[in-house]
Amino acid sequence: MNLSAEQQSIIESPTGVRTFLRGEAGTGKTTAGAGRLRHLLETGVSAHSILVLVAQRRLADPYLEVARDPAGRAGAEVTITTLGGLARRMVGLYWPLITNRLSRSFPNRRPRFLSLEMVQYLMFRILGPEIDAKDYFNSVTIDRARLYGQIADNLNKAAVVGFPAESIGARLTAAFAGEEERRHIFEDAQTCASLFREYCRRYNLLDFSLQVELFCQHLWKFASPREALIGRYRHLIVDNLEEDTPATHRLLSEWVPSSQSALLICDEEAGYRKFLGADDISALGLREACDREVVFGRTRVMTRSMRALLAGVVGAMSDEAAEGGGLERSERLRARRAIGHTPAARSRFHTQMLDWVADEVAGLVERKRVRPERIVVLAPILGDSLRHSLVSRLEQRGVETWTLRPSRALREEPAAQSLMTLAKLAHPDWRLEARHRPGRTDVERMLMCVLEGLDLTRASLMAEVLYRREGLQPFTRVTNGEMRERITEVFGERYDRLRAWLEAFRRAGEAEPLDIFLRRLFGEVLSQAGFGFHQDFDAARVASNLIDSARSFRQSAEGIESRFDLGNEYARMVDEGILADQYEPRRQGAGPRGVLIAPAYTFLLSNRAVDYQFWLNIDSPSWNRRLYQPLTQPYVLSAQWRAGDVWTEAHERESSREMLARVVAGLLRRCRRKVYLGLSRYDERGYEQIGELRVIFDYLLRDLSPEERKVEASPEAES
Amino acid sequence: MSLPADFLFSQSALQDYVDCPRRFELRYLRELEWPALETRQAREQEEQARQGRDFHHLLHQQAMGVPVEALEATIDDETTLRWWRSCLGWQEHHLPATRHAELVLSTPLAGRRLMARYDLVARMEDGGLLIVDWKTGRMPRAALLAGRMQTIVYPYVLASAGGWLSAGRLDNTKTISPEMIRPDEMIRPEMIRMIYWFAEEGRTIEFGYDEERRRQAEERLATIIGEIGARSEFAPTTDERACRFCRYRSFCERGVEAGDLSELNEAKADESITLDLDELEEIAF
Repeated sequence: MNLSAEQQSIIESPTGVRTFLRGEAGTGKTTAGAGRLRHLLETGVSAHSILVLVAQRRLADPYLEVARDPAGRAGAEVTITTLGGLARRMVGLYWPLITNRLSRSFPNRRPRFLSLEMVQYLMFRILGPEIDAKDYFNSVTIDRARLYGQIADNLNKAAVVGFPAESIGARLTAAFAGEEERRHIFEDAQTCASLFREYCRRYNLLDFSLQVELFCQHLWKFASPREALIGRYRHLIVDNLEEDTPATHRLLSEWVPSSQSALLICDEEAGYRKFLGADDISALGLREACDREVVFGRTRVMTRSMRALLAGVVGAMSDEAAEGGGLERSERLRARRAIGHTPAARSRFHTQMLDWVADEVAGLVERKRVRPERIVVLAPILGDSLRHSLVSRLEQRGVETWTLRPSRALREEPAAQSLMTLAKLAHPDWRLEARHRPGRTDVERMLMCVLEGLDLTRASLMAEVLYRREGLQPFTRVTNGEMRERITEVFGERYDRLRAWLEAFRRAGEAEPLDIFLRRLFGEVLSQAGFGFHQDFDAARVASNLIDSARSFRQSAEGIESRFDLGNEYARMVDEGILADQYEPRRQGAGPRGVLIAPAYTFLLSNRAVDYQFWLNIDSPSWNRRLYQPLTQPYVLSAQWRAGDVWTEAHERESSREMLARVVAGLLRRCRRKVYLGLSRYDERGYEQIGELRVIFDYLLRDLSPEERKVEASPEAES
Repeated sequence: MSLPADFLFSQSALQDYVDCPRRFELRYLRELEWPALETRQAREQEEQARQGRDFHHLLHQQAMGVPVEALEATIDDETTLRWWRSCLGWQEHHLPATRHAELVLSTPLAGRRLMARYDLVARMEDGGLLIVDWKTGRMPRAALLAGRMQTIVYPYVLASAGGWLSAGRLDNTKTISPEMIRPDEMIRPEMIRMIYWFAEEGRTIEFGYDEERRRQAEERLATIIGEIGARSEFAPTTDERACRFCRYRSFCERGVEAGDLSELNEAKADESITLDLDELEEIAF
């Protein structure tokens, strides 16, 4: 790789120097960080003494690549982790030192680390009845899962920002003074957060917020855990500081001065994880802990056209926005070469825009021989139907794709739904209420999924003929010859094998945990030849995740929840959307293979650049609209919020505009050649839309002279 | 399917390959998640694995300096308490003070990277290194253990990548540049020993090491790694007894029901059937 002199200087800086490196995206900071790691290893620094800290898992990829280089020197392992990972590891090891901070009733009981879905479940159990009884949040209309998510979010923010969890409600209320309805909501949010916290403490249950709090505020003060970290990790590399939280920044401010070398890397104009407590301002405070500050100013990604486009967009977003982004004519023309957009004739409906995107992507791959990995398709929000529409269009054109997004809820996967249907059929003793019992459609879908090759027509027929309220009926009892022929003997025989297995399980009457039941069913029937999971590895992966979710639930709930049969409880909670919803797979999906389809924020946080970007629906207001979160507020619950300030409409507009500017600039800085803007007057649901992003580009796109139109059509600059 | 360039070999991956190339392919190359049972007594098996994990964790905590009395107060089952006390007694007489728990080392070999995660590496007073592996399963015959990939990989990786431990730089207070590592500071194979400590029996099986063993190990490991890299097809094992305890048996169409846990424990102790039941996660983020 061609490294610049400034990158080389960072990489080879002597040990004993602590450097704060900042610059915009695309200026080669992470390359320098990974190069620094390589240099340390090659010059004999023990890998055992190196810690690489990143804000989230995916940002670790460039460092993992160096650490796993087959040609690298023999030695110990570089530790590459996040604050959450570090907190969990340290609390897991040293918790006996702080039993006074844990349960009074069970001080010596090993703490249980709660997954996101366990947090949701416990909130459902602990807070649900309280909310119903006291009529909390009666003016809020969002589903319970999102409500609990925001309560957990508030606790997490208190931990990472560093204010007491008991003051969440007061901080929010003070910032929205005079708004009576909000005051009630915030009071209720505080009550719920406190109740949940108390419950967790009582049973030694550690959600993310308690893990961080115990580590940062308590364990860090003990000599042995602190020495175990500071004494061992003498060389620090921290990337994307701006995406990390004040808790990390505070920890580093005490750690860096005693390190032997440190490289702290900070992106300017980023902070995309603000809604999770990231704080780019507090990140800058770490300059004080370093010996020197270096700024990278030259992009190593953008072509001249892209640079002109960025300048134009910045101009168009400024307070004195001018036509053409305030660019000189020549620069304006140059910027135009870096933009493609849906032609007017294809920009009325959402589907037209998708067809246009698919055609353009296929054109790049086929005609221009662009490697699919160098193209991304970005949306402000990537729902299932949008993803499906795009993937199928691209597949039809022979273009391979992969998706990077928070995965679809496990409970929505057909394979998971089929397994839950089978579990219910095998457990009549659960005595499910009618709304939880499998309906004919559930059985039809299940049969399609588990009987290999079964089509919808036969599945419907089988569900109609063979499913009764008391359960599945044997195919051997079907005496109507025509019916048997339509279903076919092959499917009938497989169905009977499945049914017989379920019957045998029922008759045995063994109390077996749900996850073990599912593993047995998977191994003995569903993954055998002739059944749906035998060849469908994606379905097998979903089954594995569901089983893992059910097992984690059982293992966490045992000892806490004795009122329920846990299998029954799990099944009901899946139906309620509480479990198998926020499940996080243990393995990260592999990539990149093919054209990436992702939400814009997710792409920004993957820290990579591409040649071509497609932005879908730039007319959509979702590009700069925050999620509706009535119980929380990322700005007010940040370290930068000044006590006594009041959040106003002006703040709202300003923050929304600032975030949009950062997203747009961040995307452009990660694009080498051209941005294609997907325009559609009507959104997916047929509503007319107009958003701020479209307005910005209109400044650059409107009033084309015939001469300019000709130039616009010419190939994009490559320099 | 070919091996990714950054594939990290471990003793368990190599053992899988030696036992059944197909299992290696499914598990490591295709990363095929296949949640079938390994034994019929899944609950019992889970409990054994939990006890094993808890015990390892306790010893890790102890090595990290958490007071023994505080740790003992957290033990809530008799088996673990018995193992714990027996282990403390053994440590007192056999382990020096300089200990490194949950150490991960890796070394390049045959164009790939080979890693090992050690329960404990202790530095003896003469500068020699003692590998200790805690085992909570049944004690096998020493001859069987000698042939296991773990016994081959662990000392080899330590000899290649553990010179800095022997040189006494555990505290990392100094940067070690290549010229600072003198040949006489590198660990000589003769300075390495490996001990398996069996919790249930409170007994050990010990292996010495020397240059000849190191050379043989290198040759064998390089051959296996080269063979895997060159292969495009991975046949299933011819010993179908092992398939009863393999989660991929339905994929390979080699049976329906999982085997019996007691049979597995017998097989693990007396034969060469090996599974990952008592294995801890090798790579943690």
